[in-house]
Amino acid sequence: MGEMAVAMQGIYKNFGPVQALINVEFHAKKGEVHGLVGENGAGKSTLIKVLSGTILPTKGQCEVYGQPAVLRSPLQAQSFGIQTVFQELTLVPDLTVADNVLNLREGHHLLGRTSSRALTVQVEKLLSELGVDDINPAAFVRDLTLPHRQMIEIVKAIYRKPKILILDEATSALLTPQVEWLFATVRRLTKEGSTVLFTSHRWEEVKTLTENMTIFRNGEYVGTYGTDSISEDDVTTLMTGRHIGNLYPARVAARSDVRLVVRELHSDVLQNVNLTLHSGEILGIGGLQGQGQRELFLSLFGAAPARGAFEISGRAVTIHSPTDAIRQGMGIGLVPEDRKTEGLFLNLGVLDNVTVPTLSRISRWGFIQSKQQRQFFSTATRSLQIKLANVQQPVSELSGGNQQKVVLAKWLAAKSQILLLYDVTRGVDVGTKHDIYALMVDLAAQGVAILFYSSETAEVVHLAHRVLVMYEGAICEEIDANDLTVSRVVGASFRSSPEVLHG
Amino acid sequence: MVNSRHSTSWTLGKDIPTLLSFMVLAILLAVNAAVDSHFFTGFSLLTFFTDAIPLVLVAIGQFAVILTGGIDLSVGSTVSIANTFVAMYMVQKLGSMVEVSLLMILLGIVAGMVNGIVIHYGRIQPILVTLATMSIYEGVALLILPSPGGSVPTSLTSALTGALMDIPIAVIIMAFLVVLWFWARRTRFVLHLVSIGSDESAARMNGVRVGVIKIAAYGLSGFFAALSGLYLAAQTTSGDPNIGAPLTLLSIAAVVIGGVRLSGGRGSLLGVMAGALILSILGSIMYFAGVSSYYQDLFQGLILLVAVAISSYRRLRNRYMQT
Repeated sequence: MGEMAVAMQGIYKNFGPVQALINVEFHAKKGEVHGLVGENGAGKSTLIKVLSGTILPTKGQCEVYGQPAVLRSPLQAQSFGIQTVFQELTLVPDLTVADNVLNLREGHHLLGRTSSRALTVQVEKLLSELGVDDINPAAFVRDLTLPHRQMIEIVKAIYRKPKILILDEATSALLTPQVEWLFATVRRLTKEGSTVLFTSHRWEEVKTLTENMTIFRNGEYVGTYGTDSISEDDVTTLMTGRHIGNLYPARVAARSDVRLVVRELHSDVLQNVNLTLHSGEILGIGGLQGQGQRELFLSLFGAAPARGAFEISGRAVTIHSPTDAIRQGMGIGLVPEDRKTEGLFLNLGVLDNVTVPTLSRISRWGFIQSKQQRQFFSTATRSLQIKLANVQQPVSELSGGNQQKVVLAKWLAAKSQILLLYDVTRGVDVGTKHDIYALMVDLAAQGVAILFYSSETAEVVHLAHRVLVMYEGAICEEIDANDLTVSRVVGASFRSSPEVLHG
Repeated sequence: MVNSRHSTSWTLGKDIPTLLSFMVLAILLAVNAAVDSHFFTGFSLLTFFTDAIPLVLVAIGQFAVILTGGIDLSVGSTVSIANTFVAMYMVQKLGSMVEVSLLMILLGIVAGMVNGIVIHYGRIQPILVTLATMSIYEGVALLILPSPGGSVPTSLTSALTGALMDIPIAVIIMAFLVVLWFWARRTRFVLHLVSIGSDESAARMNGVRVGVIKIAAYGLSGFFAALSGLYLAAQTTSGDPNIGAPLTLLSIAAVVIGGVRLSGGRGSLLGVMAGALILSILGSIMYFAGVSSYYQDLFQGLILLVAVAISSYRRLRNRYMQT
């Protein structure tokens, strides 16, 4: 039994009436990698914020290496040797890598100067020590790719020689080789006696990296388990408090009538994309991240410039703007990547959000007919079970899962016959995912045509009738139902990549 | 290899917005020289730089604020306060000149810091706060000196608008400001200004004391506005409660023409100075070309529009190249 690095006991945190942490305990030993596991909203992020000094618990005790610690600010947490890499990046885009890593936080004198040349050399040395050789320390952070920014964020934390390093979803933006780099780095740190706390939504990573894990559910502590002594199934059951047997509902056969045809779609990113979408069909879009999937979805919705021919139900149409796509007779609905900026008006009530695309249908002489609005609303939300206090509640107050349901309800209200679902389950808890899958299959059974992209390949594989795999803006392979497995789709995503061919 | 990768940091090599503003300035200087054959003789150059100084100073203060993502609409009124204060209270004695100057500078800093304090602690948008203080400070200037008048010691005028060994004082001031910038741009203070304008929450997460830095930025803006008011007093040898009014929008225009990002986080003081000189030289060109000075506002507006169009074209093109 080693020395305890972190010992937390009886931690409560209330945000107004919401209890985010209820009598939580957490213990991590010196030199181990400890996983924090739970659904969204289970309390792991809140606990991490408590430990990194960004929020103060309502009550509870915390000890760091046996020292009682009240962490009122990130600075105070850092004085206990705690460094956190948050899910949201904290780099300043308009400064260079070197300034971000070293200059911004060191020292106190506002009029103190640093030579950028010396700093750059210093950071270059640091990066090469850590085995990062593809990032230029003199580059501006705004010019870096997301994975590189994430790496710099990690480097910044490691540079300060943390006794406790917290990685909160730090791998979500990393590509496979970079994840391996991170794992190697973490193992070296723990060998040197640091403790690493780790969260990830990818089970494989938690399983590979951690020695022990603590599971949380609904703001409560469930238990701490040795990673080797617990199966994925058990973890899921402990996380959700229920046994989710069949996560994915059974498919319903698609119909034969063609709903949407896209021919020779070109744009800055897309290269000659052709596709046919039948009614009642869930057509999956696969491939590595950033191969043009986002642009495809936006182009079909008229929100990104592209050239190509469209046919809806056999009729040639033009889609130059979202207004065209939404119009009656076209019936296209998009659940975009970022629901908070592209999908919702956060300050408006749920009712208004749901009926925005259908305002022209429920208003007379420019005035909204509130009776009709409510009718539209209740029809649209009947099958969705959105948890809300009242229909005027601002969307910003809802949880991520419920917000996503509001986005979906918009298009149900509009009776969209073509739904473009871009990563619709991102940042949504398992329970809500379940509801969304069921809704998708249900809508398909009613004849709605669905184009579906997900960053979790398993979802695409289990829900789609066919999958089109994209690579560098083009569709490189079509995989039909008989052949549809995760490894097949992932294989197709990689096979087209020359690096992997040689590797 | 290491050196070739890191050579950009203090040259202007990659700072295209700043380079563009210098190119425009060079063209306009050439045009001016073409319409005024005596331009490169001492007197014209002296007048040109001396006339430009008040705008250069205000624009520098405005630059500090805009770097943080804010804006200061009250600078013009602060100029007027300083200007009327000097005309009202300064007399032809060294003691008085030092005393009044210091007091005036203090007044400017306080006026600026009040903006910063209300913006930060009241969490009110800078444009609203400084719109209100613009009126308030204008009122203060009118209280000090209700109508143009007062007097300024002649020694102040000769000290600030003359020449030292044939070099115009105005040029010495500008050279000093350039040197100051090369020193200041790598200070932690300027980095903090940039970080706040670039991403305020990221700056906070990195331990930048956002409130302190913002208040300092507005204080700096008030400081430079006060200097500008002093210089104007020396130049015009009297006080005028409305003298600063046009400088507010001109200073914002100078900053934008100088290639500074209006939302903050990016820009160079050299660009700002070029922007201010561009706006000043228009008057000179029109005078010598015999165009009515009524057209000056019109041309200033056109230049601003072109500058904004260039920067937005570059941004749009970059966006399309990235996706």
